[in-house]
Amino acid sequence: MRKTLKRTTRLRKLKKAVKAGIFTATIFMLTYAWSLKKQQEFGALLENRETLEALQFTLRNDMHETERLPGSINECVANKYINCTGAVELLIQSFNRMNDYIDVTQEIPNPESVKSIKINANKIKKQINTTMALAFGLSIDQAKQSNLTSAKEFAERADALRESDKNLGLDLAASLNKTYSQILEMQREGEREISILIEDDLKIKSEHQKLRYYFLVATIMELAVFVIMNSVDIVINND
Amino acid sequence: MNKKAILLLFSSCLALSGLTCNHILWYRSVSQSLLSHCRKLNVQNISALNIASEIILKKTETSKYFRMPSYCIEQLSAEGQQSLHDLDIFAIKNEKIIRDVVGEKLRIYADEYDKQLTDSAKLDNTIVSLMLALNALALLFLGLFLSEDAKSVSMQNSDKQGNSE
Repeated sequence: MRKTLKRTTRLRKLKKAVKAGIFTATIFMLTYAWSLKKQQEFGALLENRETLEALQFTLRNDMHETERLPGSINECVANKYINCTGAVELLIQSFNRMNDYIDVTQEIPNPESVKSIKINANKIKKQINTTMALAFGLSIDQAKQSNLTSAKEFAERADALRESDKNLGLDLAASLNKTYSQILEMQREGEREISILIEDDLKIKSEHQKLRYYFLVATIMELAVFVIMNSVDIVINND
Repeated sequence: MNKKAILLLFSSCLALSGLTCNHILWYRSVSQSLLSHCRKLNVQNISALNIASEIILKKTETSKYFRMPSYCIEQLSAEGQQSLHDLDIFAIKNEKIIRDVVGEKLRIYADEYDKQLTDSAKLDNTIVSLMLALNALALLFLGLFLSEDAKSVSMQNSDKQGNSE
């Protein structure tokens, strides 16, 4: 009878210890998962900021490059397209930059914040293609399909096309200048938009503070549960 | 308190200390991620400075172009912040050497973040070693507790056998 009572008491103690262990493990796993999630969110916020800063500098630098375009357009207003090599080169570069902007906006962890940059870049790409097709009889996409890699090759092909179509490029300077203004405007607007997005340092600062606070709470909670569980074990084994 | 409970108490205390070390590391990782982020932004600024044209480096625009976020400036030591302040005063008087001044400021940022990350890594190493030692000791005491527990169970069994005989 005494033996059975002892065994029952021992079993009851073991059950208590196992329950305390399971409870602790559950709390540990939950707090770890929650903290990891918060840490990942913070990491994404920092990554977002880094990409935006890089894109902002690219836009600023590109703006200065785009500002060289009017000079090349002035050289271009002549009978032969071969004089337009500089302008064509800059327009191809702008077209490729638009592709770069679209790629970067897709890499950003929060792409919604730069959605308008992507939309505007796509618009400008179409605009450059249309202008090139009207002015030179050949869009950039068509030039790529025909394996025309350099601006010189492009201008030469355009000259050849002009031989057969004398109406080509009648408003050359006007259409190129219009495209130039649109490219510059898109870059300025994008740069402004990013400036507003990254102007607020307080968001990262407060998120950082919050994260430290969350971690502290999680730590205290885990340690408390650990102490309680071990106290149960120690009391059980001290009986 | 019996011997078994004391051994378990030791084991628990050591495991608790190990767990605390683990949480200290975890807590520190948040600050380190911010430091790494600031360092990355500075590297981007250095690359930007290398390709920036003179137009970009006009006096009125430099502060805007190579601005570091306020939370990154806060990570600098007082000495580093003072050096940056001195350079700002110097730059106002010498507009012609703006590229050199910006370069020097970026160098100060780079040095500061590198130093802090290195110091932090050294401290982390120490904490990791301590955590391993504490965990090993906790396991050792747990082993001793289990052997005591096994002894007491076998003693109880032999008592039971003696009683039945």
